[in-house]
Amino acid sequence: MKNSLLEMAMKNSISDVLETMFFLPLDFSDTVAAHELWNKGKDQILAAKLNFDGPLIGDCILCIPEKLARSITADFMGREEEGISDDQVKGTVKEIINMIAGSTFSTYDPEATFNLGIPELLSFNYYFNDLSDTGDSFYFIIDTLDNHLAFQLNIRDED
Amino acid sequence: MAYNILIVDDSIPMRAVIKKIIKASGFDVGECFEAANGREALKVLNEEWLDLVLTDYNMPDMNGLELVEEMKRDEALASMPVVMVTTEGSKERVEEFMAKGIIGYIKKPFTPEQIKQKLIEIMGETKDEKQPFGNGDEELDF
Repeated sequence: MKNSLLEMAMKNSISDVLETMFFLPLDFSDTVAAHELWNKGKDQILAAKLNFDGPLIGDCILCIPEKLARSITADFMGREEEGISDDQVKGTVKEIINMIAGSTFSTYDPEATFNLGIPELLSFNYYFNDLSDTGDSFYFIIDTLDNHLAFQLNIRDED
Repeated sequence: MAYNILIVDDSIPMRAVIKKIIKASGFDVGECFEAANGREALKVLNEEWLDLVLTDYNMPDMNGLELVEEMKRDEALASMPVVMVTTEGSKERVEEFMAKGIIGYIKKPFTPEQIKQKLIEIMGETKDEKQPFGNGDEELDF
């Protein structure tokens, strides 16, 4: 299933959140798989997941290198990277996925109410081979500075 | 009059950023308290003298709407102004917030200016209206 309205809402929301709140210049890459982006053994990647339900049911996944997340957190809080704690980095990553998801759904259908879950951090290795643009999934690679983020939205059939 | 403000959000960086924006916006702010969810917020509300609550909606343990409901049930807290700062943007959800008695709504992502404008609506003008971001002692490098 492809949904160009949802895809456009996702792209606009990713741009809006990362540029408005985090002053992060970005561009969207042609779709590639995660294994082409990062070195699984070398790069430390943080993965956040957020479940949602409402008119659509599924989850979102945000993957971001720890180094980039720390830099964003420092800029966001107006501090030096050395003074940023791991909890603050994780908090920023969870806030990013929360804002992108909320903005996506309110852009996609302002009349509909989506219920967002609480973002959680999970092992990136779990997702490494699953990140791709297949089936009922929307997958974006975001280029920024000298690094990349990945955002995926998966839609499930109602049980 | 210095305003005591409570910021409720489960994100540590978000609390820090909102606090920084408020302090840099030129308002006469006394204490800026923080809480990570509605339950923590109620504890602060029962212990401190506060003038305004800015709360997120989507938080573990007790969300922002549940916090507002608890406040409305408490005579001492029922008239406390609450502003929802949240990613929730559907028309129905915002109407639900307003029906519960919040006095303002700020959608994330926001700009510092949006926070400032909402606070002006609630608290009136800043200490020094001629200087848009305070008296120059603090920089708004958000």
